[in-house]
Amino acid sequence: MLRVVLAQLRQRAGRTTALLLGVLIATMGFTLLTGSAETSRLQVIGEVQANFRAAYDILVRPPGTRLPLEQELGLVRPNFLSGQFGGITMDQYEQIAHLPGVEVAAPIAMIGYVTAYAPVDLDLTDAVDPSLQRQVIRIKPTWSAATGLSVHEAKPVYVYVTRNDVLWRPTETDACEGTIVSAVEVQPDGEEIPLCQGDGSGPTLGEVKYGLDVVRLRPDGTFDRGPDFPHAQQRLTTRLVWPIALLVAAIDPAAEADLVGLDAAVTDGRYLTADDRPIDDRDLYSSWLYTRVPVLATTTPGLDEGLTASIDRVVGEAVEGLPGAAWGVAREALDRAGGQPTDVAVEYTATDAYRRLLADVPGDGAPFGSMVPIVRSGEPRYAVAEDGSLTPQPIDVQPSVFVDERQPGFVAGWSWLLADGGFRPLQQVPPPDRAQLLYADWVGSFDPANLTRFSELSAVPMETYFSPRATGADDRSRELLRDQALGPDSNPASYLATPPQLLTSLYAFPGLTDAPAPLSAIRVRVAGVEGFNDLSREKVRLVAEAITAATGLDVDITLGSSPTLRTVNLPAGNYGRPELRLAEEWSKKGTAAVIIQAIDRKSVVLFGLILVVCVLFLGNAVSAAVRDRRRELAVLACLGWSRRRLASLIVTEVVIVGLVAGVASVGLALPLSSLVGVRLTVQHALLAIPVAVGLALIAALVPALRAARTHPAAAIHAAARPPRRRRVPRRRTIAGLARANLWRVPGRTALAAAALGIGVGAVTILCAITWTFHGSVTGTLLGDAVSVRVRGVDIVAAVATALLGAAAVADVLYLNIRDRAAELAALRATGWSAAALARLVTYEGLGMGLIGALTGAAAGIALAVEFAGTAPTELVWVTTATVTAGLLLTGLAALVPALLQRRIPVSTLLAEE
Amino acid sequence: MPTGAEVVATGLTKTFRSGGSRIVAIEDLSLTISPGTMTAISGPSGSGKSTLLHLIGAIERADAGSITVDGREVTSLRRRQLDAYRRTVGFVFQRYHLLPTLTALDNVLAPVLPYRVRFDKTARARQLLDAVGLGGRERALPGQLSGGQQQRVAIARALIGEPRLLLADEPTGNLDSRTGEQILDLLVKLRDRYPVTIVIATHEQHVAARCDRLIRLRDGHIVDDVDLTQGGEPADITLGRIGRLRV
Repeated sequence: MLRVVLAQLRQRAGRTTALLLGVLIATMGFTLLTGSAETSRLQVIGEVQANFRAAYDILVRPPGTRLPLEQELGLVRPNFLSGQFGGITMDQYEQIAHLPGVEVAAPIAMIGYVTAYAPVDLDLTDAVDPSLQRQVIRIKPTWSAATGLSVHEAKPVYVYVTRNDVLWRPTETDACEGTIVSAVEVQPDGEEIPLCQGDGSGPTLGEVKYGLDVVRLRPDGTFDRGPDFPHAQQRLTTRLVWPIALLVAAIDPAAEADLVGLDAAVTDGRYLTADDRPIDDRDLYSSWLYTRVPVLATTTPGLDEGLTASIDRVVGEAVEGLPGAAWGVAREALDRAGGQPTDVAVEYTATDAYRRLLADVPGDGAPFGSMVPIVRSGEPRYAVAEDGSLTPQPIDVQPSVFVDERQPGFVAGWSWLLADGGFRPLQQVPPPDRAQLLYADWVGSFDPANLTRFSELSAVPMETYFSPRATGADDRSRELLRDQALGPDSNPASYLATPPQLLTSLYAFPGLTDAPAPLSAIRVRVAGVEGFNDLSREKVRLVAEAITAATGLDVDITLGSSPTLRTVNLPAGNYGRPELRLAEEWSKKGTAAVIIQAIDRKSVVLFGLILVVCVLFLGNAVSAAVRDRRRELAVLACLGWSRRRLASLIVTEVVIVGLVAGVASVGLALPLSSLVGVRLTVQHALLAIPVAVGLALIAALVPALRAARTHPAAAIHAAARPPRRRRVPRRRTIAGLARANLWRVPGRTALAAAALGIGVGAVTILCAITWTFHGSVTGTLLGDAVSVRVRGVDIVAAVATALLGAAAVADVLYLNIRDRAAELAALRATGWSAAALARLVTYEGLGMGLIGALTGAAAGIALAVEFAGTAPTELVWVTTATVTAGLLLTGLAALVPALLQRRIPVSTLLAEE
Repeated sequence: MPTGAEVVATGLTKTFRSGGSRIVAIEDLSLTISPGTMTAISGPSGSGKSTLLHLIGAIERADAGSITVDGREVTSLRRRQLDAYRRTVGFVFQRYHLLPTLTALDNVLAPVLPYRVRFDKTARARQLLDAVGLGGRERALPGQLSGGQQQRVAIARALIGEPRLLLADEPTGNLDSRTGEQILDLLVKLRDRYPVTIVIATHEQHVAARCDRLIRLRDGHIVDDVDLTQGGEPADITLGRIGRLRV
């Protein structure tokens, strides 16, 4: 029998080559596609491996601090430290630090907000008109926050500039409503008139209050500002005060250095040491005892605040009437008066002001001033909407929390922002010892940007150092925010809380380590975690369990966590900030594990699809070969060949072809794989041989069985069967004729359509899986980045599957043309042009394409909806696109047989002699 | 009244390559077919009958020589002109070559399917089916028709484009003699009814005997050319003619 088979293969070289090419294409496709699927799988895991290493693996928080929301969704909220003031004891910290497997345990104790007053100096020299005898420079400050959405126009500040002589002597006069006057203006006629300056004592309840600043313009053009400024001033400046709330936290210097390399992030001064202690001293003037606390200050306060000021010049009546007038009266007149514009404009950010503060550090400096009172902010309360978005509930902010008992009337840290409303309940905490004053004593500055870089993709909550950012979640909000991120501000009750800007040592803040439970959180890095694998996960899990067992604290495994966006509806503020829909980064725990599992599933699906398409393609080729030989087989059957022999004839033939194709594809796949950038091992390439043989066998199964059933009478039947349907609609168009032709060999049409449909379906499914990365399965930055990577290779695989499907369509069209060559020749003889015939073939191809693409896309949609639980509109667009692409593809594929059809030997087919 | 086309062939030569050898199908053949006649081309298998028909029908291109139909040089036509020319020629084959998916009516319509024509296609197709005796079977599929009926459909199909030249290659070759006779009767009737020149390639003497003229080929050459209307009857077909007269 082998001789018959070999003779067959040799004699029918054309058909053998066609079959061989079919198996070769299918096997090559399989090898390369599975290779690319394997490559993409490795890439994804590689990505996760490279990115999962975060600063810490476990987050330990006081018991009961995990919000129900976090519990439910496996999230860690941002600002998890902000509402957390203590709850973990030093003993618990010691226990954790000494647990086996703990590499670093870094405690952090949140102390609270203190207020620093940053100086903002405005140069008014150019606003002064030296020709005027008397003038008032009016400064109108406009404060802003929330990327400029919240705006507060503060009361103007006035500087009185006179060319008259000024006597700098304290004077008490009735005219000034009992306030002390320190300047008396000497009028040209010699009359001395006191200048009422009002109470410029600094911030009071409601607003920083400014009195009248008096300046004498000397004939030489210099400015005389009284005894506080002994030297002649070349420039005229005035100073506004910017109250900045700074969050203070205490850390363990050694642990923090190990965890994030804080010591290496110091840009100026020195790092905190384990030996830093509070320094007690006595104030020389008040003789109060005070304590200086060493602090390491951030260079980046991360505040979203700004200041602009417009400056104009007031002359005339309001100025003339100023000398001798009570400040309140004079001020009202000045407020109402028109002004002459000047060229002086001022623009500042909170960071400018804060850095100015740092620059003012004296040699042993305490630029941040008094740390009393200390204010703590709590957690916002959320209302959860049906769509899962969160709405923080506004609360009233009571200014009284900022009043220091020892200085009643002086509201430390009062900023207009507090009147903007808030979401975090505020509470004043008593200083460690009421008898003392507390000063923050600068020892150095650190730049958070210099901290050890951890993967941005798998950033665990790093509120210790970085400002939380919230971006617009819808077009309206993005537009309002001008595509900027909303940042925190000096209002401790604001929704977004600042990271601690001042860090001190646990041991340098008076009384902290003696408090019952001073620590807010402990971040734990587990030893020996290398790569995101089961072993590492197990190690982390063991340590986490040990911590829970030993301390009973809330423990979150953050290993492999990744930022995920939550939608927050921020209610409108009182200063013009409209309601905003924000996307805020929360941390999704265990993202890496989810991604790896999802990719594994996807690989399996792709493998399966590729295999199915290959089998369909081959099955078609083999069954066509068998059909071609029906008469021949029938003759053999006539000659007495048994069914089994007939079947094995086909199978042997196909297996030989498969074997040759398999070997050939090994030889081709290896160089080709490096060409298209698919990593292919020799073992994987060798897999092609059994795959080719196996595929050929599976594909040959049905045709072989059919061959075995060959009836001797088939020898006299025509090759192309007439349609079975009795009722035949009219075919008066080429398209109608094409449609009729599709029904002639329905199995073949179905096979080609299925092959294409699987490709189209694969693309759709891929989009669905990709979509779930954005959606509920992972929906994280890490998921996003991975899917972007995956998309490239996977789309190639899926599109290649679709191409293989289109090739199957072309193959079927070609077989059809061969089968019906005589018919086509007859049409050609009756005057059909080659173009008309090409149209007929193309229409048939498009028909198969339409069936396949629609079925595939429908299956894809169904699976996607099943997978994702919803049918997003994007999916419909994607599906429309894939169907269109599938049609175009088959249209293109049909061109080949449509062109080949021209080569039909019309004359030979029609000749009767 | 318009008659069929006049066909003039001059110095026609056509060779085929088969494997390594050259086969001369037609060699330096010249002939003129008068309009409105029914001519039989006869000869043994391989004598060049089909080739001559294919050359006249522009299915095949001649290696040398020219064919002029109604004064139009066919051999020099471009591809598009060839397609148009073929539409003015009707073809009937031994194996009918009907499209199995199409009804009889649609098969008749098939040649003009991709094109616009001056006449009402469907009406003409029905009329032709009537003319070939298949009125009422318009909706039958080829598989539901007998061989003779299928050939009638094929003849109707050949006439749909109002051809002035009808080429039939062994039109009765697949039919029993009785049915074959009926087809011949039909062709004769059509020649009388429509302005068409008919050329039939056949190896059957009784078919040739029904024609106006008989051209005999052997090895690509004309060996005999007899005008049967003028009583010039080669002895070997007289029997066939007598046989017919008896009918």
